[in-house]
Amino acid sequence: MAPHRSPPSNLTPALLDFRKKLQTKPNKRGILSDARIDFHPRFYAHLARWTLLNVPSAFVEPFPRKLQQGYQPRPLRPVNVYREFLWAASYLINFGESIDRFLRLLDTYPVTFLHNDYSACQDTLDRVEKEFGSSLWLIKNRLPLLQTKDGLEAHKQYSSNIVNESPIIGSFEYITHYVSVRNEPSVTPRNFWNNFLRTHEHQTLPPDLAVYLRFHIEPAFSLSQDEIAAVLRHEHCSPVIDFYDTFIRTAQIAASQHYDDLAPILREVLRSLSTVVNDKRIATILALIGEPRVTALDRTSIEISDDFLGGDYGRACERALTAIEVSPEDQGILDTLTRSATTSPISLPDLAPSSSDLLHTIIRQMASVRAKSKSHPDQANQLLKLAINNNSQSWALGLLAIVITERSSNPMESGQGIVQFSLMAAPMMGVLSLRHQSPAVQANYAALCTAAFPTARSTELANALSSSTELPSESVITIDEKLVTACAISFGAMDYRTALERATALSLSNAPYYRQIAIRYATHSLLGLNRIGDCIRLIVDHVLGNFHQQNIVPIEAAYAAFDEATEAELAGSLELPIFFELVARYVQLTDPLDARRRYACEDFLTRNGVGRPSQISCSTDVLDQRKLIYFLRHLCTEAVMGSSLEFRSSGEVTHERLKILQLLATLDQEHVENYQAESKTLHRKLMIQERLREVDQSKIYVDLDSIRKATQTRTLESYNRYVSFLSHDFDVGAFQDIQEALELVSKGSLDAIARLTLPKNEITAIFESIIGELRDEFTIGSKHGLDCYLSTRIRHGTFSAQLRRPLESSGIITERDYRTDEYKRNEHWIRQLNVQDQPIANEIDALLRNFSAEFDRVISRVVNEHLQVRRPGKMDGWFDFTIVAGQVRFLSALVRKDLPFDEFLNSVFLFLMNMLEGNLEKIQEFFDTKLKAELGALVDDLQIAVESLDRDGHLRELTNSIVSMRTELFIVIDRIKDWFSLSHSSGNEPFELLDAVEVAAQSVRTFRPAFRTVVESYSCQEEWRFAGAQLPSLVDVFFIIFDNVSRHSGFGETPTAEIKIEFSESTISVTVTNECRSQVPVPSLVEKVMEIKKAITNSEHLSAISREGGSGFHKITKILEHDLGISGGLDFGFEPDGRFVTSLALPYRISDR
Amino acid sequence: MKILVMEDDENKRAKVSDFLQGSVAPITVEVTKSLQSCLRALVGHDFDLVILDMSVPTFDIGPDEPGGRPQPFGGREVLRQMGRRGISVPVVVLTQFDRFGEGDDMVTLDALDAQLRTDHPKIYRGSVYYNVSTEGWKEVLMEHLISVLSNENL
Repeated sequence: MAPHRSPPSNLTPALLDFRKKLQTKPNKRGILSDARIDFHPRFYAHLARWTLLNVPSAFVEPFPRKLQQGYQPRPLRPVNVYREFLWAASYLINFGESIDRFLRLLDTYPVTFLHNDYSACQDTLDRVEKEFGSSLWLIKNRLPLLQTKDGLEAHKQYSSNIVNESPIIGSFEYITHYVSVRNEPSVTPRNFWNNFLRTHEHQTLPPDLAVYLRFHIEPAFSLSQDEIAAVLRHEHCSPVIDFYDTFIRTAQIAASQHYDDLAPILREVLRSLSTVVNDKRIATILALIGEPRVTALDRTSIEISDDFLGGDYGRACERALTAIEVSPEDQGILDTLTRSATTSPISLPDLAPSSSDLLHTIIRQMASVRAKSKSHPDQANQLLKLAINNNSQSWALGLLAIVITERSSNPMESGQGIVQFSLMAAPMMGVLSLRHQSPAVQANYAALCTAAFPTARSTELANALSSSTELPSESVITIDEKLVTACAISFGAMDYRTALERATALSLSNAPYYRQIAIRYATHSLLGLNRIGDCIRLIVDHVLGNFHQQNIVPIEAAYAAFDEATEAELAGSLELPIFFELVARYVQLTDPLDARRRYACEDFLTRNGVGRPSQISCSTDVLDQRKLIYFLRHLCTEAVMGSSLEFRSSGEVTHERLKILQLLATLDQEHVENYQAESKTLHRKLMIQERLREVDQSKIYVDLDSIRKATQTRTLESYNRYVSFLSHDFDVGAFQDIQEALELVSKGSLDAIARLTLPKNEITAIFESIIGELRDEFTIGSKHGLDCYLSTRIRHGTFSAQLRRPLESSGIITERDYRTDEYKRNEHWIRQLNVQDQPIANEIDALLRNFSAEFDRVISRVVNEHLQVRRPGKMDGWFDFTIVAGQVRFLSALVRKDLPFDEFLNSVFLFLMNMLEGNLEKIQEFFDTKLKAELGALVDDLQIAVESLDRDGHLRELTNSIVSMRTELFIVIDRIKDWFSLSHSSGNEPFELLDAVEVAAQSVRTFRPAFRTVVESYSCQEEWRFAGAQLPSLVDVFFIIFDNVSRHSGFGETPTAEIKIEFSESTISVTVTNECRSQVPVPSLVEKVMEIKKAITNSEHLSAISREGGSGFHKITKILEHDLGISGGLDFGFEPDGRFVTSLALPYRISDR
Repeated sequence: MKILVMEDDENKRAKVSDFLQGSVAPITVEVTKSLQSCLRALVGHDFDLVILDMSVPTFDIGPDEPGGRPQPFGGREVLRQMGRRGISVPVVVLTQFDRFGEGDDMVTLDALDAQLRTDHPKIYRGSVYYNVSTEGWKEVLMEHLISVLSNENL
């Protein structure tokens, strides 16, 4: 019984009972719900009409002024899909007149929207709202309109008004939120789907509701019959506008998915609705499910298709451009227009006006997507997004289908039902997309064509596809189109051999567009024939010739079919590593194929008799240059080559890459700039590594030249006095005792030296004083002594920061709260481990905090007590320069009365350097044994304690982290140990200022990996290079500044230093600026800065040089003034906005003292 | 008996070496600290047993060598390379971790063990979980040693 039939004349008792209950009982929706199940569907029309007339409150408000935010009535109880369609039609038919008026209001909407007449669009939507109330349909159309017309702020304001006004989040709000996100300009369809699906999957929603929400948000174009029933059931809780829209869409889905058992019901409900509603979509669905009385074909569209099929691309273009102005929603015309534009020798800009309206933008972008221009991936994404966000409009669905088929490698792409769906949704169908449709649709379409346009070329084509046997003659359609049709027929019949032959013939077409179609059929036919190796060769050939066309070849499918036989077939070829690289690049895999790419590369090199890629140059003439270039450029990278036994260090790998880049620059002139840029980056990386090593090896340093200069007054005078005594034969004691002592030493008695003494007299007192002075200058001289460099280069944060880094990066160590001096709670691991048991969480936190305290105590002890020159107050210092009397006696024996002071100094320096070397050996041994043992034991204890708390394996992640941290800690200790060797000068290699900046930044990054520098305006000329010996000092300066930034910047994990370098005639000005925690200067800090500046001005900074823990500005002043000979070059302070600025003025060519 | 050990953790390396040298006489232990040095040793010499850590650097870390790319599955790579080069020596994985890799690449020790058994049935003998606080790993490793020795004697 059709929904519009009259109610039965004789009411049954059941019907009477229903009426009575509905009028008297409170639970009206429950009664209606039961009736849908209890009554035969032939009563639905009566039930719906009677209820609407007599008890309308059983239904939702059909045209609500405002959506009932936060409240939706419960859906009726489930019935099967047949009943849902019948119920929906029985209900909706009562609103036929309103629905028809609604559709008429929308007649002009596509034209106004596509021609950018957004005011008219808004006016239409306002009228819809005024006349038919609010609806999801309205929200889903207002959002893209607001985004296009007024921008993000307006669209977000609209959506948040809807979401925020509601006390709870119901379906409307949920859908509104996600549709709004989907419309945001920065959101791509792929990311939206991934994020939405991930979130949606984690929601604990009833399955029916989840389907309903997905249907609206995703949106879904393919549903099972049960899902269709669920969507209809839920939509019955919505206003009439939404229910009708969903009813039509689910009917389109049912028809496009060929649910043949639903066809009779669909015919029945659609026919009945079509008596009261004039909707072109109903006509299309009916036509394609075999309703013979209706036609959905448009003469103009068919004629334009005929022009195209006949090869008159220019005329097809011209006519399509005119027709689409009138019927912009006609996907058949858009389809033909963009195909013609791609195939025509006349370019589209010559044919189309340069209008900037949306319609013409779509046409241009679509033509670009069809032609696979370089920019087509972006344009395809834009079109996809536009189509998805306007999916309630037919033109958008047609557009969606075209983009999906064009982006796909599959010649028969269905886009998970979207392609078939779009044909159902289109008011006028296009014959050219018919090959993507099912045989049933093709047959129905062919029948329509034959009836309406028996002599049209389009009819010939439709009949050929439908019959799958007879092809139209070349006099009717072009040879290219004939071959495409032939490919489609044989491929559809799984006759892959014939399809391949036809695709091969098509690949000879003059039109690139047809060659793209050919490659799709050819590669897929090869897959069908299980000729995987040939398919891979074809894929590689095609992609290397057309990089931006990788999406039209089946890389993923070929990889899925890849087997051992194919691997054996392609082993040693250039195609195999390139194919793996394409797979890794374009297919989302959990395995990045590192090993496969590496082995395939090695096999290729081995087959060509070389070990390294750079050695392949001799045989380049026998290899395909295009493939070789791709191989060298994308596969012979440091990452891939790193595991080859050809290389013994990462430096060798980098140098090999540099050679490859040289080779590439000769082979591939087109990309020579890319190779030069990569080369420059690699050279810079090597330079930084080398400079870093130099700086590391300069940490133990004594400025002997400076000591030499400093001793030219007082010590020289003492020395002259001493020598004068010697020349007057004052006795310092015969050297007999030394000779005797040396003899005893040769017999193994070292005590003899210790027993040596100088006679106590004035002359020996002078000598002892000279040695003491020189030793003190060497060790604790505030400007040039060992201790001042130990302070600047090791103790000032570096040592502690380096040792702490493995612990910080694993989140095991926390910092102390500056107010309480207590270690902060370890929120990182408490959160990471998701420990629910509070006492256990507290125990873990206590363990980690105790460990942090113990670890820092060890570091502090080493820094404050051991990395010191031994002297009163620092008696545990490892740098022991205690000179016993015997050593002084030995030194005195070196001095002759004619010995120049400089030579004397050389001897004393040599002696002190030897002492230093002895100290360093002991320190290295300490690091290797005691420090590793002490810190290792702390880590072991922590691991054991954590494991004892871990009763169910929940703490394994923490244990793993502790284990990794221990390995890394020992590597760091080894690296630090290497600092303790005698300084090597950084040589004479001049360097740019930026080198020092980068080396310092890199040093900071070893313990603060997120530290960032942003260098503004830098262009170095040859004359602005510094002498190599100054590198460590300049690095020290920048290191201290950057360390300050990393510690005091308000950006926590990403501290950033903005660096401005300006050159003038005589000076280089460097300004380093960083954000601070506070956005205004904190008075106490400003005061502190003023105090430091005052101390520096008053030259009080020397006493602060050997102290650590401050700002380091005293140290910078000392380095600038003493090491680099610059006075007054430093300034620092807060800006009004709270940012901290440090500025340096470095004179041109700082003299190398 | 000649054993090759690939291990970048100094502490573990020392403990494993000490244990091996004190367990069954006479044993020669060659220690490598990275993927590259291990592969080089395997290609150049004959061994009776290979004991692999799973996560190692590419190159031996030193004053002039930062180590190259970290190899979270370095042990698996050694097994693959042995397969490619036809090196047929029993292999035991000795690890301190119960999972490897990060994010989507993360694999548990059990899953990795199963994968290695499938991929390298002829040479892979199993995995041993190393722990600083227990001695259980020594017993299991000893069983592998005895098994290798028994097969040698056969």
